Amino acid sequence: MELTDQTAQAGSTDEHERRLLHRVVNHDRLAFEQLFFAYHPRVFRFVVRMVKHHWLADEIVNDVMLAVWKSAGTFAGHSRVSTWIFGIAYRVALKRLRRRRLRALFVHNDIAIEQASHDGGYGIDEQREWLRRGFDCLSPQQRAVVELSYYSGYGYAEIAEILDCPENTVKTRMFHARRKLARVLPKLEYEHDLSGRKSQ
Amino acid sequence: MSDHQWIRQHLAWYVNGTLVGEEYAKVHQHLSECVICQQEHVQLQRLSQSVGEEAALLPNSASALADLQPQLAVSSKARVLFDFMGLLSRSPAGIRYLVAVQAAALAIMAGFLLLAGSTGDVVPGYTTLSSDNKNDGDVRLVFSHMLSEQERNSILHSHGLELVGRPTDRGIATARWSTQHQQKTLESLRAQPGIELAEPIGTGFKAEP
Repeated sequence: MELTDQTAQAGSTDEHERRLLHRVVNHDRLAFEQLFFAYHPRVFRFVVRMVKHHWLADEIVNDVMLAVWKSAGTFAGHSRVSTWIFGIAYRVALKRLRRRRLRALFVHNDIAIEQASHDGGYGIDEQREWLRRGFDCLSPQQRAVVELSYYSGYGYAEIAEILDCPENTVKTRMFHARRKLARVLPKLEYEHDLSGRKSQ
Repeated sequence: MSDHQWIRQHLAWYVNGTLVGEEYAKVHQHLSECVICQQEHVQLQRLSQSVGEEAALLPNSASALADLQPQLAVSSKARVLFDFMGLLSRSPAGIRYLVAVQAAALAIMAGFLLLAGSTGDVVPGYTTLSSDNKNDGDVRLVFSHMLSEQERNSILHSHGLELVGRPTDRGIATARWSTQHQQKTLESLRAQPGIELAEPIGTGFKAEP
């Protein structure tokens, strides 16, 4: 029942966004501003998770929203508007990462994972730190899958559409992301649980 | 792929509530029986909750939109032109109009080129190695060292030449000559026994018929 409500709500939002996008095709600034305020924070969060630099995320999101303004007419309507916009964001972010040769910084190896496993220092903001260290072990593509699944709430089929890859690739990326996280998380989860008990 | 593996690949989306129908039922059923998947389920729930709750730094959307406005304005103008061209190209009359405009533009450019060509300088017959296009009225001369100054002046005078400045260290003199009958003057100079070299400077001259 709850799922049906969510689906209906998503459908109604998408209908509204399709109308806005149609108005953007006709150079309606007001419609674009509505889309902008609806998507800018979400896309920013997604992109900053991928590229890890706020200044770079700022530039990328700017490019993404400009692309939405320029290319609204190319939206074929086969997917949700949000899927289309996140797809643009993913492609622009990957392109920028490649161009700036920053990807190397995000391709983590065993050393990085080892460091994340043994470093201490979980204080007040431990959950955030726990998560940051976990995400540090993932590739941008794996981070995108985790973020789209658990923050944006997409199913694997839609994630495959956003990332323009087969569904099995999405499942595999999530599987490997989970395995990498598992190498970091056991100790952290234990400490997290301990601190939770302590605080009770 | 075993059921267990399949379930582990799909647990992530069972957790975020996007699995439906048979897939949902399959995972749900398996979870009630498999302890390993139950543990995985709990961990994924924690991960999901943490990712969802994490307070990322929120961007200043209003400021970002203000920064974007100039680019939107530029893009709008380009889009208007692009849309206009697109609209025209969608109808036969529009295509004819576009072809006519392009033909007119080409005709105007061709006209400008022809006009520029007709008012330009006469194409020279040849260009000497020392050509700099600035001293078309000069000729370089090398006099025989046997000539006296009087004999030299006499040759210059009889050919209507006037020396410009002093000869170089190597004895090359520059003389200004009339634009009339340059070829005949040059032939006459070269025929003089006291002239070792006579060479016009610049673009030379057209051969006389």
